[in-house]
Order: sequence, then C-alpha cells, then structure tokens
Amino acid sequence: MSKSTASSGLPGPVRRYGPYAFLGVVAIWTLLPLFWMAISSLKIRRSMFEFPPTIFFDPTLQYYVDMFMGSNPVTPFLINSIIVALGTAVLSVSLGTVGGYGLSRLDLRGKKHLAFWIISTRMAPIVVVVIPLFYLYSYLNLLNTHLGLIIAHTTFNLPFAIWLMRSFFDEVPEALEEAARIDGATKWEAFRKVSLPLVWPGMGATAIIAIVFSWNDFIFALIFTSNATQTMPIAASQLVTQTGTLWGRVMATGVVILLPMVTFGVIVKRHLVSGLTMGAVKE
Amino acid sequence: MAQIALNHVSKAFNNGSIVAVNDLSLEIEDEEFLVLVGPSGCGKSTTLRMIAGLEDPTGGDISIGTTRVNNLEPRERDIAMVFQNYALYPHMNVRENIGFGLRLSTDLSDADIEERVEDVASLLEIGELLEKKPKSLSGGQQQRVALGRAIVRDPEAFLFDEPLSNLDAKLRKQMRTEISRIQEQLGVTSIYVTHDQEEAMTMGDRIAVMNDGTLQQIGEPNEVYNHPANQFVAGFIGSPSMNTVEAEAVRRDGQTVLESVTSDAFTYDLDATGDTNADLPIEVGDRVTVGVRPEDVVLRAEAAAFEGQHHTTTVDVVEPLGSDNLLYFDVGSRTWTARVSPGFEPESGTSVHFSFPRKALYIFDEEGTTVESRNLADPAEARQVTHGDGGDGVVNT
Repeated sequence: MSKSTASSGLPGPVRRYGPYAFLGVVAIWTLLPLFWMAISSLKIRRSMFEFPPTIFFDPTLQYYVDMFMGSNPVTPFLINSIIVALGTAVLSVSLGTVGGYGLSRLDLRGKKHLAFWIISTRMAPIVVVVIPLFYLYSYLNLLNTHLGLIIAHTTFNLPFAIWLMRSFFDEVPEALEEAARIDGATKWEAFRKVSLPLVWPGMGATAIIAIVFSWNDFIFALIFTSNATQTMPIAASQLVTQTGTLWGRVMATGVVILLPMVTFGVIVKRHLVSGLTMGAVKE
Repeated sequence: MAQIALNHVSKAFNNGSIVAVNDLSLEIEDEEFLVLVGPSGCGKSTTLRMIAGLEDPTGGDISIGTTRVNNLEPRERDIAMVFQNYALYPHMNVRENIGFGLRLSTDLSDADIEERVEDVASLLEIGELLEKKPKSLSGGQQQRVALGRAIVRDPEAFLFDEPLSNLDAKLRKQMRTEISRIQEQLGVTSIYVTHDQEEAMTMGDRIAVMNDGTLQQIGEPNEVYNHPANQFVAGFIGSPSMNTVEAEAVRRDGQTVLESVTSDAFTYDLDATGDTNADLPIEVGDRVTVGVRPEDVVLRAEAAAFEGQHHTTTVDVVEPLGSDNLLYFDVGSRTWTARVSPGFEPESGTSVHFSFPRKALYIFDEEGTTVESRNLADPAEARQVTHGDGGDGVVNT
C-alpha cells in the first residue's frame, strides 16, 4: 500500500474510497431530482409543498389513475411517442448502418471531408432549422403526421448514427469479409453474414441514442404536431394551464416518461458490452 | 488441382505513384509448394492478394488452371486462403467456421457438410473443439481451425499469407511441419507468403525471393542458398546473414588479390589457393563485394593452425546456441559472424585468426549481381573443417 501511495502521491484511504465518494456525489446529484419527482407523484398536493418535506406519508395513486382514466388521458400521447421513437430508431439504425459501413470500408476520395460534413449538419441548433422545415413540411403535407416527426428526428440522429456505426465497422477486421468472399460469399453476403452480426452491439447503441432523442424531443413535436400526433413531452407541457400547474400530474407524467427509458436501458445494457469481436483475429 | 501462372503482373497504388509489384512472371506447377519470401513491403502479400482476387492487378494476366481469372470474383476462383490473423468468424463456433464455405459455395446436404467438417477436424486433431467459439481457443488451435476452413473446401489452390507469424517459436516449427505434411498428403497447389527465410527454406519445393516489388530469383531452396542470383538474395536467405565486405581487385606480385576498400583490414589472394581463376569475370580495378557464409568461416586461436592465408581479428561477442556458437568480429567496417563448434568459445576481446576456403567465396559485382558463388561439392565440406577438430585444424583449401 505504501508503495502505491508513494507512486500516486495520494494517501491510501483517499485512493481507496475517493472514487466511491465521487461516484456517490454524482449519483445523488443525478438521482435526487428523479427520486423527488417519483415521491411527489404519490403525494397529495398539500404535502407536496410542505417544508420541511415529509418523508413518511400516505401514498396516493390518484394522479396515475387520473392520467389514464380521467379527462384528457395520456394514452394517445404515449402511443404516439412509441410510434415515433421506434420509427426513428429503425430508420436511423438502418441508414446509419449502411452509411457507416460505406464510410468505413469504401476507398473514397475526400472521405474525411465527407465524414466531417455529415457530422457538421448536427452542429446547428435545432431551432435554426425548425422554421424552414415547417414550411417544407406544410408543402409536403407532413405536418401533424407520425412520418413527419420520424423524418425530422432521423435527420438529427443520422449523423451520430453514421459516425457511431462507422467506428463499430472499423473495429471489424476487413480480413473477415475477405475470408468470407474467398469462402464463397458475395460482397453482400459477406456484409450480412459476417460483418453485420458483429456490429450488433453498435446497432443497439445507435438505437438507444435515437430512441432517447426522439422520446425526449420537445421542439419538433411542439411545432410539427397537433392533437392527433402529439407526444408525451407535449402532454406534460399541457399540464401547465392558465388556471395553474397540475403538479401532481406533471410529476406522474414525468415518471411515466422516464420509466420506459430506464427499463429499456437496463435491458440493452447487457448487449452493449462490446468484446464480441474478441478472438476474431490475433493482432 | 491446378497450376497457377502470373504473366507480367503489376500492381500500382495511388495512381501509379507506389509500385507494389513490378512486372512479375511466375509459374507454379500443379501440386507444387511455392514460397514467396521477401522483406516487409516487397510486394509478396500484394501478389498473393491479387491471386486471391482481393486486389486487382494494374497490368498483366493471372490464370488458375486454364482460366484467366483477372475478372473473376474471389469466390469464383476456387481457392482457399489462410490469413495471418486467421480471420475466424467470431460469432460462429468452430463447426460453423469450417462449414461456412461449404454452405455458401456448394449444394451439399447438411449431413454431407457435417461429415466433411468432422473429417477435416479429425485430420487436424481439433475434433473436440467443434462447439467452441474462436475466442476461447489458443493461437495454435485458431490456426488449425483456419487451416481446416481452407482444407474442407478441397480447392484448386491454397494461399497462405504469413500464417505462422503470430505463433510462438515452438508452435511455429510444429505447424510448419504439419502444413507441409498436409499439403503433401492432399497434393494441392500452394503458395505460401512469408518474411521468414527459414520457413521458406524448410517448406518450399521452390522459393521465389522478392524485393521492391520485383522477383529476384526463383529456384529450389538449396539452389537459392548456394547460388543466389544477387547480393540481395545472398543476404536475405541464410541465418545469420552472409558476411560481406567491399573490395577491389588489384594485382600484386603477379597475383590477383581482393583488397577491402574501407581499410587494409582484409586482403584475399585469389591465386594463392592454386585454383584457376581463368573464368572469373572480374578485371583488375573492379569494385566487388566479397561474401562468405558464417558456416564457411574458419576460426582458430592459433595462427599456426593455418597453412595458407589468414587474417587476425578480435572477438566482439560470443553467442552460444548449444549446438554451435556464433562469434561476432569486425572485418573492415562490417560485423562478421562465424558459426563454430560449441567447443570453441573464446572470451570477448581475444585475438583470433580466421580464413575461409576459396571455394566458399561469393563475389558480387558493383550492381550486386553474383559473379561467383560458392562451389563446394558438399556444402558441409567447409563446415566439417570448422567443427571437426574444434581449434587446431587447417584450412581445407
């Protein structure tokens, strides 16, 4: 211990417990507001604003019942969110995979510039493109459609998707495809049967990014949709009314927005562990 | 099985600014094992990849059997390749890896494929690994699977791209023998690329030495070793490398003498040995490079041990190899190596005497072309003198 202390210049206990303390602070910083939201959604309005806050209280599910059973239920918003998020994920992952493969494998002139141009489209803030897109969409009859929102979200996700997939394809040695082509595969078969199964974790990661973006997006959804296609973040914003803010339902809606993402994250985490290509080649 | 022919094949990259392979013509006989050997970047791998169809030649024709394959896809060439990094499909187990090619390129039933995979697995002694994924295998086992994937398809030709360079020394030697055995057993035309001259010498029916994209020499291993076409081949084939020193032919007391140009450390009287030099195409005043194989250098502690001409030098380093010792010493400004018997192990810094038989001499002209190569009836002839009596023998000239 003394040896390693000398090498790092930090006393032993700091070296040992420091990282945990730091992670603990980060965890509290991140989770406390979410925890607050979750318990507030179970409190009656009066106790929600008590100071000091009560930790032990009679929980109520009234807001959740209202949200799904009461007037103006949240269910259609939820369905819209799911449709748009899944559509965006499918489109982003498909196009991102093809684009990323091309950028990784093809011997193009100016490939670096092309790659930079692709990611640079992501550098403008969303609000800059919202107005022009609105005009475009109104000509194309894409306003207030799921497809319109999916296209808008995909446009913003695709640069990330392409870059991410490119880096995953870069990790797959070209020799694997060459081996497959000598073994009797066409270029397409080599891609589909050898490379694609190996970038599966990358496709998962890309899907998560696409879904999270689409699920959380507010600006596109606010401007491009109306009643029939509005998503969950719009549902939450509508709870701020002229007569006051429905805090209980805001909190409950927040939880409902959050839950699928958390569940999804836990499920796909396992698939994100890379190392699938380990043992493929010996470098 | 088929012969493979390369006819004036060239490959340039970057619009011709980098020439990887330059006007290469080769013919590999049916069932022959040809080793393409050369230093990194000499174009040997590019040549192999062109034969495989992974690179397009910028000039010339490649044919396998009677078919010109220039415009054929790799899968249409009926060849199998073993890669340096094995290139096993990581998401498939060994069984699927070996069977992959059969599933894609043949109409065999699942049962037939299974049978052939099992046969190959038992030939390579990897039968118990069939259900494992590549990442759980050792390097040697992965190598066998890669070999199995090539063998199972029963192709027209095997292409090996430095397949042993990632294995440790012991395993490498073992696999070397095994690949040779399997190739002989199956009788499949094979091209084997390596930078390891020892692999080339031990495995090839013939070896083709390349440098800078150009074929330097092609021939049987012993022929290339004993009669290298030029100084590059002479230096590349053989380990430790051939000893060389730059010299000038001068006339002294009516004798033709080779005299080193960098210092007067070295002179060699060509006429002293009594051999005729009549057909030696060098003139007085010619600059040449003199070469001697390390095993042909005779070293003695006592000058009196030599009857004829000899030189005195100081031992720099001694490397005991067990079976023999390598001695390093300076001649001119070059470091020379001598392979001597294990009994002869002088201390560093000791003064020793060396000579070599006239017949062991290599002479290269100014362009590096071989003018004369060693002419020992039995290549081990000079060696026996060195090894036989370990210290006080005489030079056999």
